[in-house]
Order: sequence, then C-alpha cells, then structure tokens
Amino acid sequence: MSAPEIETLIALLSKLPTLGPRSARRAVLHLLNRKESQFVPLIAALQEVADKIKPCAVCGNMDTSDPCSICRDERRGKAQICVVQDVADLWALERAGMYRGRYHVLGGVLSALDGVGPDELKIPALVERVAAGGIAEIILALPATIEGQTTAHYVADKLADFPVQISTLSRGVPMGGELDYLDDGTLQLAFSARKKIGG
Amino acid sequence: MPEFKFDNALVLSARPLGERTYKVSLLTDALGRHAGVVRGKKMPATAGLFSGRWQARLGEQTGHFYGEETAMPAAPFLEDAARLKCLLCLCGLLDAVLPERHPHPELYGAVMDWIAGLGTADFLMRYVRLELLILSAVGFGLDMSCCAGGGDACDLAYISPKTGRSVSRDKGRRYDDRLLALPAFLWRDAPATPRDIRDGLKLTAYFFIHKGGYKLPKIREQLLDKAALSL
Repeated sequence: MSAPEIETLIALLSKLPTLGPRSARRAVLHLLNRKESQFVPLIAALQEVADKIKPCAVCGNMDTSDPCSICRDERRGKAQICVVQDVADLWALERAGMYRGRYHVLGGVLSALDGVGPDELKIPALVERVAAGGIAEIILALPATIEGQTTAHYVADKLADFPVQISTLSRGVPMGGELDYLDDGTLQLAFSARKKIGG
Repeated sequence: MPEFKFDNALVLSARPLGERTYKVSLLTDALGRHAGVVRGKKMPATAGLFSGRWQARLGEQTGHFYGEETAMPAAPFLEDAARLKCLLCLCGLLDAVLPERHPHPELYGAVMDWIAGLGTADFLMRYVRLELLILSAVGFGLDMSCCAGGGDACDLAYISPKTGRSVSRDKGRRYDDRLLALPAFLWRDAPATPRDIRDGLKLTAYFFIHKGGYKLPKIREQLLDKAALSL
C-alpha cells in the first residue's frame, strides 16, 4: 500500500484511455523513479496546457489562442470549411498536410443511442459562418458510418439554401488494401464510385 | 463455459470501452438483444451484420463476442438520408426497448426482412408496421381485430390511447379529440400517404412513451420531417 497521494495519482491516471490500474501504477512508479528528468517537466507541461489551452470560438479547435492558429492563418484559404466530428479528426487531417482551408468541429455526430440530436452539435455555428458569406465549399469529412453520414445529410440539408458547394470525402479501397480483405459494404461503395483512368 | 453461436446479428449499438475494446449490443436470432465486448482495431459499425460466437466464464457476465462483420446493409444507402435515418432510428429503438437475452425470433426475422427491402419505395410504411411489431414484442401490442365500441370492423379509424384497441370511424367520431388516428395501412392492405405515415409514427410513439415509458431516439423526430415523407 502506497501513500494516499500516490494512490490518488494512480486512480486519476487509470482513467485515461489505454491505461488501467496496473499500467497507471507502472507509469507512476516510472515517474517517481525519474523525478527530475521526467516527472517535474511533465507536471510543468500539464500545468501549461491546462492554463493555456482553450477551444476556438470560431471552429472548435483546441489551441492556446482564440481564434486558433488555423483560423488566424492568413495563408489558409477562407473559402473552404472542412467539417469534422472532433478535434482528433482535425489533427489527423493536419498531420496529412494536404488541406489548406479552415475547419469546423461539430463535437460529435447524431447518435440514436447516446441521445445526441442536432441541438447538441455545433451545426448552428456552422450555418452562421456560412451565412456570414465568403464560403464557396463545405467539405463534410465525417465518418463513413451510418451515424456520420446521417449527420452529413443533416448538415447538407441545413446548408441547402446557401450558394455553397457541399462535398464529402470519397469512400472505398484504402491505400495498400487488398480486395480480398475488404468487407462487402466497402467493396460496394468502391465499385459504385469507380473512376475512369487514362484518357 | 457458456457459449453460443450466431449468424448475421444486427449491430444495434457500439461504443468504445478501452483503446481497442468496444461494448456492442446485437440483435441475435436466438437470444434477442445481447450485449458483449468486441476486441479489435475497428469498432463494429451500427446497423452492420456480425457473425460469430459469444463466450463468457459465467452466464451472467457480459462476455465477449468473437467473430467479424459480415455485411454492411447500409452501404448502398449512404447517400440516402431518409433511409439512413430510418435505419439508425430502428437500431436505436431496438436497443432502447428490447430486454436483454430475451428471444424474439419473429421480430428478428421481420427486422431482417425490412433491411432486405430497404431499397423499396414503401420502406417507411413497412417501418411503421415494424414499430407495431416491436410494440407487440415488448408487451404493448395493439388490438386491431375489431371495433372496441361494437362498430363496423371494416372501417377502423382510431385507437384508444387507454386500451390500445381499435375503434371504427363511426363510433369514434364523437371522441375524435381523445382518440389516436389509426391509418388504414396498419390494419389492412392499403397504400400510405405521408399523412398516414406521420399518424402511424405518432401512434406508435404514444404507446412507446406513455405506456412503455421508453425514451425514443432523437433521430426519430426527423422521420416526421416533410422531406423524409415526400419520397
């Protein structure tokens, strides 16, 4: 049995994704054994992030400034908004580095199970951004699940009266994917979205 | 060690439990709604079909599902908002109202038939009929065999919100404001107008909410949308 402070730390860490009580205990022990080199810098980093990070009032991204660095970046296109489910998706697209427009984080997708309806998502804020003008395209980068696509249709309905082009990401065979291993649904989508090659 | 095998169980819901584990609720043919844990990289998709086996150390435990997704019936309809909403609503409704591990083979068959015919034009009409069957499966079946007031059984137009029994147009006219509208397609072979669909959805919603005490999926409100009914 360790000190109550350590037990509290273990209990808090064990609530993090991928960590259970055992791995949290190992992580705490690891940090205690490397107090100066890892524990203290970690505390400082956690404190700094907790103090400075806030959600962007424009797009919903997490950043140290509001509006976030993406919304303030004048080099990024203002005419395109990529709509994503959550910040993790925004980070994934930023990692890929091929999109140079702005984002809008919905904060989830419509879900029958969790009782997430349109009111719980940041759809009105998106409509406001589009209504303010200057937007030419909305890219719906939502999951290819029934919940994700229902949300995409709902957003498209809400934006139907605005003169903007609404597009979604393509669905089908992933890079390195072998047809033999793909499920029927993905194959069907890939087949229906086939493209002409060459001339 | 308790175990059972199943084919083509409908994924009613799935949510992350850990980094690579998911709590999944399935509609199986033999044991009705059944929950379990699935391990893997990818979370099973709602409304997908899953085949495999369930196993636990003790029968009362949540246990694990071992198997794979065999089909994604929603795939051809990802561009079709009305059908997606309907399918999502069905999964949410079944997950909310069905008791766990209680066999409903007839309902399972009806759900699979409905999914197989999701591409047909009358999918909403058949969906409302399916909701009636779900009501019946959870103990709130409506009696549409005759008029509760002794009227003409060939012209049923209302349902009593108290008893769930049908009332003929003639006998029910005086109590029009207190009775629920019964669209003809629910008790005989008849076509359904958008208004009939709306009446049918309101009828089943009344019994789910007021008699069963269930909370309906929010997405169901959108089935009442004019856009969805203008198909």
